[in-house]
Amino acid sequence: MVGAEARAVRIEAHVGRAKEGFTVVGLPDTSVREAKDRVRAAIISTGREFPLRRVTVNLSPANLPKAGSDYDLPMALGVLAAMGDASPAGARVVAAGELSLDGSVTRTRTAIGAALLAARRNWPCLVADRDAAGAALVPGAVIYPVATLAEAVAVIAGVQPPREIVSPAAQPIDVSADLGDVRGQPLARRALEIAAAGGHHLLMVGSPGTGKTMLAARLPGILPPLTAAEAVEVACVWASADRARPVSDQPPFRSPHHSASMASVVGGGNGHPVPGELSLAHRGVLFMDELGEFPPHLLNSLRQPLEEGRVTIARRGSTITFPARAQLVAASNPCPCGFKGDRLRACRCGDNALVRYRRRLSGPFLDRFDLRVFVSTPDSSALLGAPAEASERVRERVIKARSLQVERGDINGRSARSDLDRQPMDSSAVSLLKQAVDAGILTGRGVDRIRRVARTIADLAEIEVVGDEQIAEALAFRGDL
Amino acid sequence: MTDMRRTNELGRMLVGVSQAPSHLWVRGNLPSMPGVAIVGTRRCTEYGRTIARTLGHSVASAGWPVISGLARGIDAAAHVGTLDGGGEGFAILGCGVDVIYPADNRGLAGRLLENGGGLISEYPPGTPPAPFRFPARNRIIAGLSAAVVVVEAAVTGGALITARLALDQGKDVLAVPGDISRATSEGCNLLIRDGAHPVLSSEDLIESLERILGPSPVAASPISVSSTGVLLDEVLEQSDRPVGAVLADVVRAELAGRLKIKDGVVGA
Repeated sequence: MVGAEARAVRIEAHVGRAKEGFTVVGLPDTSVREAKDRVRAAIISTGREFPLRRVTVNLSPANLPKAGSDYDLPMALGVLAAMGDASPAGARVVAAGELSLDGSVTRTRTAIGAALLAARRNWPCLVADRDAAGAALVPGAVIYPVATLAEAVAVIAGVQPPREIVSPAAQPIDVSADLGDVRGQPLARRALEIAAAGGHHLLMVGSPGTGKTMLAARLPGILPPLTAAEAVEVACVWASADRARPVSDQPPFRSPHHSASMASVVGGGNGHPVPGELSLAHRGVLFMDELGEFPPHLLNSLRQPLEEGRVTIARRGSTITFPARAQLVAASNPCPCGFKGDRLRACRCGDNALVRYRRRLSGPFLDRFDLRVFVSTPDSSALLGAPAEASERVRERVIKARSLQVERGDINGRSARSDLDRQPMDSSAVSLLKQAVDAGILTGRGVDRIRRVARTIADLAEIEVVGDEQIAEALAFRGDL
Repeated sequence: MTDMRRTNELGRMLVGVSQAPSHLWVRGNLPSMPGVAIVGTRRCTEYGRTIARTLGHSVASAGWPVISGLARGIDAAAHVGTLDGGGEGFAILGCGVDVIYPADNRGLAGRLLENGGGLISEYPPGTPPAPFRFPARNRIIAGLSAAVVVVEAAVTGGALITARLALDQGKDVLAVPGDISRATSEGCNLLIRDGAHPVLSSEDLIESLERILGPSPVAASPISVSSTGVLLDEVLEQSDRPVGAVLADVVRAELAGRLKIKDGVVGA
């Protein structure tokens, strides 16, 4: 895997006449070099002899650094073929998996990447049992699950038919986080629905305990389910971070703490670059609680990836790219003490502290948030009131609105001014926008935001031309911070 | 023309109208409350047209239905302003509701219908326009309105008739002052001399209307705003209407300068 992209590595094995030995060439890192001993033990466990001769394995392309234990299985197959002992000679397969000393194939961390490569070549793909179901999601991939090296040899040789894949039950959307649990908060609920429908970044400002985190955690549940291709993309990113994620059509939700390092949020790290939280939230939601507490340089480094939808990490000799089309949801206190604007508790912040705090929360990064909403403490009657509308119902509307956007092109949250200019607005909408700018409640930069949000509101109502009603509602989410 | 219907729903509004018709013909909607009539001459100046449009916009933004006669000139400009302001406009016709006269304004009539307004007439469908029917329909205009604003009018003409009928029905008349040298302003200036409220600006008009009719529908709908403010969430919860529609109303009221939204609180 290079970034979240799978690259094919050809395994060549040679058994020579020189004295006994086992060499791996082609920029293997320590985990790959150690494969030698696993491969030797696994081959012996199949009942064969390991040759007392010179064994050389070449990983090609030779200039691409290799890491991880998934080279075990293909290396073993290569050695067997070179020994002329097994019939796989001549067979073309993609194989990946870690071997245990007893010859069993324990895991395939790059199963999805391997399946993608195999599907492209129309070759069968051998992966460990437990990772087969995930790999089988890749369209067009023929997956042979294998439990042991011996089984892999038999399957390739055609001695044994490949087993059926036992697909796990589809992961249901996590019902523990349903919008129906959120009492009151009609304003924030509406903002959440619009954010989901248009893929807009959302900023929530409110005192501690008003339910900002609770609201954010319910966003994935009202987003449209991932398509098969998107689920594969997400699984690829997670695989490159060496994290297990059950393959699911539920968009991911990541919530890094504000003390997290730059590398863990944006991506990078020492040695082999890994995707950060931003990429793990690809096609899903990145929730940043206490936005003001994140170091400013971290926020700034998120700007470009958010815009481009990918993170590029430059390394000596190469650049690595991870996808990062995440929807950002941020929460912030209105002031350092947290209670400005709260109706029950008084704010204790001085004017200077307030100014400093707001300055941290401003600037170009905040421009990314199309929707800004103030979350207030719900009163007791709302808390005890009837359950609100459930996620399922909201999601139906979101899916409908999204499909309208997909017909036009990209989702509204990502539309540029040129896309907006193609979107019709009626004269009343234009005059209301003008009125808002003249009244000083909207800056020039804000106009595009309002237009994007109004477009989504119109999509939710299945209205073709944006009118003043939609503009007026969008203005309610402008957030005059 | 499948949407034409005959109704007596407006009977109560038409109580003070002489020889009130028992039924009206309607296309589209009926005003939900007495509206504000904006009327004037057909042969208007550019000044009058601009003012009529601006006033139509303000009245519509404040939430009152705007009522006029779909004639050329001031009437048409008032209807256009209403549409700009996102309000509901009602045209009272001197012919059948399917006949629409003058034909230039057919497009405008269609837009009124599309935007929640309506076409109303006491004459059955198919009735052609006739000179005597226009002064007669003016009493319906006055009848459906709580106040009449005359933008530009000569001393002779329908607008002044409407104003006089409104006074007869005990309603307030407002007039836009104009050049004393211009014939089309004479009627308005005369009305002001005789006690009509002069309209000095859009804001002045809304203030006068609020004095006469009580708080504008937009200001009144998202519950009355106290000086300490009320949570936007509460405003939304107390309304049965969709969240989006209430938000839109609150923002319009904010733009009109009647309230302020800050930190999730709606304040005066």
